[in-house]
Amino acid sequence: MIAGCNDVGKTAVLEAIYLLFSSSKAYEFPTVFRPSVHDQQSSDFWFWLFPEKDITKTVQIEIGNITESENWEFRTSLKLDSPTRSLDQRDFVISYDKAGPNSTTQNLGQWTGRPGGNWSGVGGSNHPSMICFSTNDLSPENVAGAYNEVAKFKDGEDKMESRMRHLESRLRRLRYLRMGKIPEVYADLGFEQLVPVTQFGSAFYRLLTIFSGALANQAKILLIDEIENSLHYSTFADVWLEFAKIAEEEDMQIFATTHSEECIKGAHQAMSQRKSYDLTVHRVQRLKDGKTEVISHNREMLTASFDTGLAVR
Amino acid sequence: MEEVKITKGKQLLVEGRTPLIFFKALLNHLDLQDIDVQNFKSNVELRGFLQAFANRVEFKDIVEAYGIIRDAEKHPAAAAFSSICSSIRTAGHQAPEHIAAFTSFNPRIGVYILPNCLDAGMLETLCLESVITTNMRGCIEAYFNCADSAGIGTPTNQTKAHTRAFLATQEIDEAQVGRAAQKGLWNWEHRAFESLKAFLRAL
Repeated sequence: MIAGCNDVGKTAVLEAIYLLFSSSKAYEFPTVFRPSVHDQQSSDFWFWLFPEKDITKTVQIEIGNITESENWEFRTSLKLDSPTRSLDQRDFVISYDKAGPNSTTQNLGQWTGRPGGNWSGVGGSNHPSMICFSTNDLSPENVAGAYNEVAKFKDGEDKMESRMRHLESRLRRLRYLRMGKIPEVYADLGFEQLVPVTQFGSAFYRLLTIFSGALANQAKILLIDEIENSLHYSTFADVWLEFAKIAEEEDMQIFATTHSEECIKGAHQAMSQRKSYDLTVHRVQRLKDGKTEVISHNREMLTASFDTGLAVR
Repeated sequence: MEEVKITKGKQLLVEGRTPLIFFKALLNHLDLQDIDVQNFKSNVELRGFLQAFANRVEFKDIVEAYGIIRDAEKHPAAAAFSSICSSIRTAGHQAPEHIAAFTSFNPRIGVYILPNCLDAGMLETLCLESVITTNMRGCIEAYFNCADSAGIGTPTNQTKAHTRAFLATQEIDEAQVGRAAQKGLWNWEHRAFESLKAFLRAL
């Protein structure tokens, strides 16, 4: 989980992870977590990805694991090409590499594009599958599509129904139905007719969206901005238990931002009940000199923080 | 639960709610108003607490010194001191070399082990010592001997039990050393408190 005050850069951490593994659709980057960026080619957005808008620099994002048994590193770099050309003639270049043992490097993709123009390039192979959820809900059609994909898998519907029952105990079945032009997911609550899930509270709809999307895409990386949105505090521990189960079953890594202390407590409680405690809370904070730092809280730090009244959010 | 707030440049970290109340009263008596008192709840939580606490932005912005006080309990003070120093190092700070002495680094750090930085014991040991007379001790021991002979029971923590027995004779609702400190029942001028007061003044 990624916590911290407003405007400290929590969503930017998700965006950095997105940039690392998004070689198939790098050009979608501006709107993935910021629906207010209407123009995908907005030059301002791209220019401000450089620290203090210094476009002479290269933005580099790296993630790796270098141990005795493993040695790999994913790298994404963003820069402007052709320094001799005028600014409006220069392209943004996003390059994806994977470094391995003995200094070997494999190019995984490259995209080139200009604000206001088109993007061209290749990519998409060798990156783990990733799915992202901003603070905005997906359309009912998209949710139904994802649910239908899940239904194709063995026990897919059973798993979804079991997960969603933690939020709605009356739930008997979920079904993909096309009653008009647009398909929707319907729920059997024991009434004469099935109820479209858009009639449910936003918590149910949001979790159905996330679980369906993650399973349908067989995602290995799940990015969720403001995970606590729509959820009542009393459900946090149960919801996190479900996230932990899905992460374990699908070999998935979840990254979620939050402002909510209760959400972090719920996650801590849920993970403490499990055999393995699979939670780290990264608190992003800005220092007096303007620099940003991240403090990673393990189980011991979280337990002590909650027991003593030391806020983590 | 009250949220931890870091508002002052000096921080005193103590183990539990009773010491929190006690030290607030003692600092007030000494007119040391520039020290926040924080409760790290229990010795096993100190390491996690200190890592989270010392990494707060407010801590990095304003804290120039902190002291940690805990009981020696059943062992001599050296064992408790060693355990605290390990937690300090885990939090990324330079631990003091000696008990009750502050480092000269930033932040300055000191550790005090109750009752006297040497012997086994606790906060109650110190408090009781500051008020007890030979007659009082005789009364309290007689009470516990009587209870033992009658088969009522024998307390496992004699020091705490003796302190509560003393407080039962005073006008106080809760027989805790913290509440007693608020009520002014301990003799702050007794020599038993000298070393502790010096530590707090050096913070």
